[in-house]
Amino acid sequence: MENKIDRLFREKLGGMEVPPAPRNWEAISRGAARPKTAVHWARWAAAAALLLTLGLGYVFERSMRRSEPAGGSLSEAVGSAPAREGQGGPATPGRPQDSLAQPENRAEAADPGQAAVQPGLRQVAVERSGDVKPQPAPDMQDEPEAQSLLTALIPGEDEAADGASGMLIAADQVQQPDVAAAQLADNGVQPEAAQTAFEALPIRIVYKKGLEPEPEPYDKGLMQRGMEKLTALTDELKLSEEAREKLRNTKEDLLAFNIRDLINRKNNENNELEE
Amino acid sequence: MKLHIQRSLSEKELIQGCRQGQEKARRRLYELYSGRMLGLCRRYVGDRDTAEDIMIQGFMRVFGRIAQYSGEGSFEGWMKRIMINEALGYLRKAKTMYLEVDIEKAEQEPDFGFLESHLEAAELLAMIDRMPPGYKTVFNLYAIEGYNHREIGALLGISENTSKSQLSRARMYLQHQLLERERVEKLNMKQNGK
Repeated sequence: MENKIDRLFREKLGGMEVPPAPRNWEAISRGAARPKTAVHWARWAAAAALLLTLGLGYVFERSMRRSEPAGGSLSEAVGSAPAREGQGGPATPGRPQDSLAQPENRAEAADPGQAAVQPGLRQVAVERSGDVKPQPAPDMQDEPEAQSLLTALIPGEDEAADGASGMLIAADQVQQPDVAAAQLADNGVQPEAAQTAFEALPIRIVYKKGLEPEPEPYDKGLMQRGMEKLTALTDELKLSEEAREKLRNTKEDLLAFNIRDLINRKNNENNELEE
Repeated sequence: MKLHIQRSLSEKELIQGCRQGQEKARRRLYELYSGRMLGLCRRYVGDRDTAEDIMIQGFMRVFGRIAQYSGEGSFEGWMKRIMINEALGYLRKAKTMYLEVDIEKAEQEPDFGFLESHLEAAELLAMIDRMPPGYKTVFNLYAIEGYNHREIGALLGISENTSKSQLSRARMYLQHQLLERERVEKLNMKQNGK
């Protein structure tokens, strides 16, 4: 019974033909003219373009970062300048002895003093003006300078302090266009002493980052290595694609081998019947 | 016999032409086989348009791989396998393969002699179309294409037993359909006779 159903359907439908629509050939001839490799090529091209874009983007970004510090430090140093001033001003009252006992501070004061001649160094100029004033008498410098410093840092101690604090307020007001001060800082006018003092402040991180000259030296081999990796990747992909194709074909051949007998037998039967 | 040899020779030439990418040879091959190949695809997929799509894909694959045809065994059989693979690929994507439908076993056996002379291919095709895809596929592969259960299992990624059960359910389903068709046909004949 089983075979009868199978046989009925096989005989009636095994050689069934359905006339295809005429437009089909157009699709096939178009598709056959553009073989599968075209699709592969497009895929490789897409992959390569993507990697290239990423690589170029990376290189571009790196180069941007390399050129950034000039501008970046400027804007960041503006933020850091008040911190420096804060350190110079209200921050130090906690440790007035430091500023009092530090001879470096004097050197520092003298150093930017010459820098203060430049126009636009308003903050520095104002800050130092207290120190610079007594400078005409170098012999007398030690005492008055320390005094003025002290008074500048601890506002409202005496008349001199009043003046100094007034100057400080002025410094506060001018703090906006602190670009020059920032440049000063960038130029290393502020020695390590200042920088270590900064470390107590949270803003330090920003300041340091801005100062960082180059995250890493520019890697000339980057593109080269990128291309090499890309090539290797492409080769690997190609290999796997080939392997897959081979596997598929082997599978088909295996099936063919199994079915070939059946078909041959069927053909022989038909031939015998015909004869 | 002579005719047969001549025909196979021309088929060889056609294949050679297709290998060289000759448009004319391809077209001739298509004209020769497209009807049968579409008939085959149509058995697996009830929708005519989809069947044509599958056939188009199949022919493109045939032309793309014709260099791999060893020349052993029938070329038509080789093409059929490619078409079947395309159809199965489509069905796998559609994921409607293994629907279980409970079918009671038919008591009666159809009158095959009668059916054979009275049933058109289109009617049988309609019966196949109405079957769930799993039954249809296994029945097509086993009963019409001549694959065995092991091969079907490998092709469809199912066990041999699943293949067997799908086939027996397909047969039961068809048996019901045939009996019904037979009953109606005989009734019509009776009425017409009277």
